[in-house]
Amino acid sequence: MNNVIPPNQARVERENIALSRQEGRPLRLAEQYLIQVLDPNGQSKLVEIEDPVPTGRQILAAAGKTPVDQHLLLLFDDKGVLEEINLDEPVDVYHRGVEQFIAFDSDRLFYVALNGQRFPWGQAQIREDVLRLIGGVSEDQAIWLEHRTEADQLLADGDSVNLDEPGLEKLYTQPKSWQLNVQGVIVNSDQPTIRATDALKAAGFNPNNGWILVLKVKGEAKRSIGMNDVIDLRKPGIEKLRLTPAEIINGEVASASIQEFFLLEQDIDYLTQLGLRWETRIAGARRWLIIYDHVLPSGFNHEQVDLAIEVPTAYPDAQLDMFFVHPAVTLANGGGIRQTESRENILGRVYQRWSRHLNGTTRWNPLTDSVITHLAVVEESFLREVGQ
Amino acid sequence: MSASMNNESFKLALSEAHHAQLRDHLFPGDGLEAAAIMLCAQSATHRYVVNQVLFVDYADCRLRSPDRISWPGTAIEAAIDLAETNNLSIVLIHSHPGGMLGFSALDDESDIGVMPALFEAIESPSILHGSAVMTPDGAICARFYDSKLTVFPISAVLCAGDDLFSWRVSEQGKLLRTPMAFSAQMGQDLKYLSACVVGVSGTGSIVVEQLARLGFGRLILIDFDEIEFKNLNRIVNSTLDDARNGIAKVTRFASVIPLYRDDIEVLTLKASIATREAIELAGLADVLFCCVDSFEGRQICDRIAAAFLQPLLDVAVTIPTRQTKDGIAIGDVCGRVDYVKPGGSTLADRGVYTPEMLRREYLQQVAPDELTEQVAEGYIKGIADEAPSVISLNMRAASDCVMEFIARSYPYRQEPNQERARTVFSLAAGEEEFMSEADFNREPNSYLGRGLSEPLLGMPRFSISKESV
Repeated sequence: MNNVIPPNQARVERENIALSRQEGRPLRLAEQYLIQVLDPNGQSKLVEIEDPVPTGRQILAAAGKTPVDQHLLLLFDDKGVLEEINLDEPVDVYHRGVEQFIAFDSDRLFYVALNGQRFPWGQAQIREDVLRLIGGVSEDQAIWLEHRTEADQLLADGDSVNLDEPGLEKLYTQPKSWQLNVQGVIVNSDQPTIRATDALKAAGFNPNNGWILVLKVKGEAKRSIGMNDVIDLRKPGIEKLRLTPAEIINGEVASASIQEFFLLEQDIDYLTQLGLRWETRIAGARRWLIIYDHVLPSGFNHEQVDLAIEVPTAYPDAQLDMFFVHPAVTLANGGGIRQTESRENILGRVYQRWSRHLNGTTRWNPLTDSVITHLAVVEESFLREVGQ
Repeated sequence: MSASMNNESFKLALSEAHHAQLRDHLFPGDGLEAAAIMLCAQSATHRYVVNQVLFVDYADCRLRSPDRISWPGTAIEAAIDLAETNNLSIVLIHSHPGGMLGFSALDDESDIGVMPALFEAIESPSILHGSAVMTPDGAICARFYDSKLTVFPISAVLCAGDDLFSWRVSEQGKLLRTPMAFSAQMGQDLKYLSACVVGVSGTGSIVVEQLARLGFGRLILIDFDEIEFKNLNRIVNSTLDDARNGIAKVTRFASVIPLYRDDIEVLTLKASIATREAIELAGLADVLFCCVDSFEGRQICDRIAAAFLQPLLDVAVTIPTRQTKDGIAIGDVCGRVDYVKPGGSTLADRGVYTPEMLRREYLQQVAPDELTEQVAEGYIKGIADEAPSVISLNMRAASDCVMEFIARSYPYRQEPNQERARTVFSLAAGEEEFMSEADFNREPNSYLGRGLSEPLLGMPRFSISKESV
């Protein structure tokens, strides 16, 4: 307890060290200093000490942690260092400008590592929120506990880590990410909230297509939300965001003027959603899906074509392959297009055959492929010719 | 043809997976009754298939004792919601840890309490609901009720896994034991089964002959074709007169079988399996034999067997030829038998047919020139040339096929049946090869247990619309 303060300096009644640091001013001499002593749950209490260089014993006593011999004291400075303070060890609170201590009703230290840095803890359990406080972990980071033989574990709010296991517990932080299931598509977000319209876009749905949005949360009744509503992904139990076309068309609509054979329900929904004019026709024994006025990407000598796709009877177990367009197209600059020489007469009109096939590695899968995926092949074929 | 006794009785089929899950849940090891709910679709008026199972949480039952259980209302509500949406029947099943394979007075009381609630909640007038019990050995005894609470016992509960399980209770309340294969009792026992044979031609006619003589109670024969002179060399029972008069293949069999069986029911349909009528007829069967020679036929049978929870036996023969300097020669003489269990690898999984082959077959029928062009351009693979099959080869394959069925229902093999999911024989090389169920990939099958739900078999070609075209 060396008194290094010149005796003739003025003293204030009480100096709150934390406050002076916050206000960015140097510490003043005082009769009493206020330090913070936290308990293991992070609850802090302001404690008065007279001696600017108190011992561990004095701090514990001042904080009411008696009998002092049965407590442990850790110092917690603003650089995030946690240090054990022995009972008889002096701490120059004044000069070091430290003011935070943690007292434990324990006689044994445990150790834990966070992002490679080891620090002591006076209890067998340390809570996630306390870890955040001690480790200075920001809100947008998640804390993970390394496991040796199983997958690493993400610490949720309220979780505790047991430090009493053999071996050093290693924790690390990683940016948080949240997920939302949008109509079966998993959308990742690095923000805890997401606007419905952004969620749709991220999942590949066009928000302008007229959807009814239903947010399904486990244990709650499903509720409709608006396109501009913000979804809080931290809420437990969110199962998925379901989309239903705002208008369910069931065949009595101008878009499908003639349906001589049926497609899959999802095909019909998709074609209707895109607002296309389409028909299914049987010519002789051949079955054709005709889509009118399909807009081509620029670079061709026509802006729009009619598409014909042959749909075998056993579709979707039988694959779709190739497609036909009317009128025949060439490139705008007059160039020809490979594998389009063949012509087919379909319902009295001559169509140009595009021999585009799934290559050997991509095979048709009846479980996931359909008119929808085939139209993606069609689109891709057009784009490829005009170099996009 | 006199009607056989199993004509009017009810049957219930469930998949191996559902059975295992039920058994695990109903017998947690604490010796107390447990409960679950089976939601069932139909494959025919008297044949039900388990579509989904809901497991009643142990903690939700107010009372669980060794001989009694109380059903939580929430579980019943959940079942009603699902049943209503999909037009399913609800069968409440609980365990009898004590081993009684039958319904106690307590069970009867309990049913009288719960059943009315089910009928109250679901509007459909002719729907049936039921109750069932399972004993620790996995046997199941079940019954249906109509809205007036008339009881309809279920004469057989069937579960087709690698082996075909059936649980039938005698009048004395005892579980009927499976007789030994090839014994006289096996012949008697087969009376409770119905088989559907799709394709009654080269291999099909020989399969039907075997099934009819072995003792099946009912046979359903489906083939769109007529007998021609060129068939006489290999279709069993076919005559010159048949060929002159263009008699349907199925008709020939229907007239011949009664000459040696007076206790069998034979139903015939002269139509392609790819029709609604044929599919609905196939729904009466407990086992499906696919003896067609088209990919389309196999694909439909594959789908039917999954939807109706029927074990499927698919048989095929081929005699590929090769070119030599002296002309064409035999490449091989082969046959294949595949056994498909509901929930196991399907014919699609095994590559018996593929999306390419199906498209090719379609083009062959509707635009053969287009097909030739595409084969020439290299877009479609050509098929190897073949010699036509003969009765001797067909008989070998058809026999293997029916023996496979017997091995599954009246086990006799030294190895587990799982090892024989596929058998391929080569007479030219003198070899036989087996593939195990584990050797095959298995994609998820969303049609399992779907019964007759629309669209039929989940295929757009069978969709019915409100405005007919």
